[in-house]
Amino acid sequence: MAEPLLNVEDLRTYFSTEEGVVKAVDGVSFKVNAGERRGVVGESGCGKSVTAMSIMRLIEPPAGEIVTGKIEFDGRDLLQLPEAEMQEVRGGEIAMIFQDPMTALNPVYTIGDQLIETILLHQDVSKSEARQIAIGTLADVQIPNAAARMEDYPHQFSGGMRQRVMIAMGLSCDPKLLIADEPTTALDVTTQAQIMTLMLELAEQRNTAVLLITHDLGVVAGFCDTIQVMYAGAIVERGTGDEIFHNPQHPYTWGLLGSMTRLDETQQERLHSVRGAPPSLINPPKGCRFGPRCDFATDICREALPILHQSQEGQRVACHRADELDLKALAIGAAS
Amino acid sequence: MTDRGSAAEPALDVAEGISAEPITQWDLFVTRLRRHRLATIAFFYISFVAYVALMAPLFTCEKNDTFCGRGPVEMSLLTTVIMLAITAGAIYLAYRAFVGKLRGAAIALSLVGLVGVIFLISSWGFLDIPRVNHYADQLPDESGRILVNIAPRSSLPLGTDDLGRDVLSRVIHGGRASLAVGIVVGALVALLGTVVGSLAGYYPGVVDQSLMRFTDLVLGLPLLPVAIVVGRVLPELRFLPGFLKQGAWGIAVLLGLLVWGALARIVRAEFLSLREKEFVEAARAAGANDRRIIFRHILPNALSPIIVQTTLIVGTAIIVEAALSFLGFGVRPPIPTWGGMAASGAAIAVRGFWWELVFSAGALITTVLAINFIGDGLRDALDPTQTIERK
Repeated sequence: MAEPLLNVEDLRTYFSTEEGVVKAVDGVSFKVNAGERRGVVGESGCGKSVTAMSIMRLIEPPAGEIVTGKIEFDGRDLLQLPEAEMQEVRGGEIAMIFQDPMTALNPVYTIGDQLIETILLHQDVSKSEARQIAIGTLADVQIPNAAARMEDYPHQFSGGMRQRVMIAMGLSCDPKLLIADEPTTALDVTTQAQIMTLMLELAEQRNTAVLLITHDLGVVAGFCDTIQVMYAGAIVERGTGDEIFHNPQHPYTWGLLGSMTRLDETQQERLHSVRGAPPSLINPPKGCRFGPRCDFATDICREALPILHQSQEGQRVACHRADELDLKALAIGAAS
Repeated sequence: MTDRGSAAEPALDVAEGISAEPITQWDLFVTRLRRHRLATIAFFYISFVAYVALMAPLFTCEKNDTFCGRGPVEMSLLTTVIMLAITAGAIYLAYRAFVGKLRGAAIALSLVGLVGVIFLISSWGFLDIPRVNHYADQLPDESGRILVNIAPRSSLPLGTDDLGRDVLSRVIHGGRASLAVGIVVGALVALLGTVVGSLAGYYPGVVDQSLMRFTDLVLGLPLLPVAIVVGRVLPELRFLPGFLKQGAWGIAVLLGLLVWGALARIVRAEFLSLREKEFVEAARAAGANDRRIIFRHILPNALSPIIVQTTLIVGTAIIVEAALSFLGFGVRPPIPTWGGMAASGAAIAVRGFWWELVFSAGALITTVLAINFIGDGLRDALDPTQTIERK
């Protein structure tokens, strides 16, 4: 296998608060290959966004700090780069799309100004060339009448259109990796699929790898090659979409899948929910982080922290009982 | 799944043809400002006062000059250039207002332009323009007596003071001191307050703490006593260039250095909230450095309170300068200032010679009031959350 594009090793990002140190990301390792579509799912506060921010080095001391870890991107360790070089990487080689397109665009500049600014920051082109590139990318994201809309302000765009602009901005410099942090959460359901399709098509054309962060399993199911499930600052399961969806090995993944609304199921059932709330990240419970909420927890789960290992089924999972449990056979929610 | 992305496009294409003329932020701002009628009137009043004060040499000439109103006027190059710019600007804006169907503004602005053109021509000596007497001249009548304490009449619209000088001429020239204070204080406050506030708001910790403690220190200085003491020693300081020692410039700079604290605090507060906004994060994620984020992304968003607050501070500073001159610590006589005239006017007002006091104080009060109205109007026009329509 070729060198991965992104290689995150044992990333730990902690935030110091008055109550104590919050271990938002605690020992996350993963690799993303060039052109791969990777989905990261998990509930709110599990460290998905902090992982993304850490890769971009947008965590600002003194509030938060990347304590240990290595983030190798294209052969360089991003954590060792001086700030000036990191600014080249941001937006140029790794682009990021934010959750809320309503606030991610600067209200006082036109769309064109903002697109051109990003292009001029990273590409050695003249202003008029940058303008042409900007119009081109706007057209790529299917904004009609792109040249005229360059002069419009963000408030003249709808949410979906703004997210298209954000995608255009992200892709305008042909980054190698696009981090999309819940790109469709703030959007109308009807535009969600359009935006996702558009984003991933454009990424594919440019051979851009995508790290898609979301809590919407439906979104990753349709769009991602591989999926990693995060819980309480760590990856609990990683595998292909097929593996995760049809053969979940971790009880948490299994619970998440159970709490999805599905249109293809004819059975009339109460919607399942994972009981309890995520643990405190200041004082995580001993043993398996998911232990207190897990229906299958045993003594070992309360004693030792499971590590991510290859399960018999193929995907990687961090559960002591992964191999003995046959979650597929259990009706979703039956144990609760 | 993949073909869904283009499903909505035809509908959007249809809308292309009917897209309306875009409304810029500037249009919105002007519309809202115009709705604030007092501010509009105040704006024209201030423009008038500033214009007359700036062009003071054109409106006045020396009494014993037999060519008064006929010859070319001695005008510095700077004044000529500013005058030319104002005239050209007024004519251009009048044209724009005319095109934009703002008839009132068009007429007012063309008048300004017309006056400018007339006086520019007259300043080269082509036209006879009646002027009032120079502020320093004592007015003798036919029999050679000095006309002291003359009540307003048609030949002397605002009367003369106790030394026989024309009050109208002195009020016009007195406006220059206030104008200087307004411009210098405005520029200094906007610069210092913005820079200090931005840096303090953007860089938490040591930078923030030290800058804000310094701001507290400056804010803690009692304005009048400090201005009196420094203003008193100002003319004696050898290292200062001449123009700062006499006239209003020195006082203006001094006041500007003392009153920026309030703005710095406001700008800092704006930065503290704006730096957490997602578009700032997005700019950083797009590779922008700190300088770019501060000046290009955050500052324009904080501009509204800066403009409003600076306007209001300028109003206060003009009052403080007048107070200093009133107390005799500001601009030295015989250079006329509204505050100084109010002081000497107050001394003779008790004998029934009310005009010098009333006209100088009136000019001061109306000017400061107008500046505050403008500040109010700007605040309403620049605040997008404002919904109450003021008349």
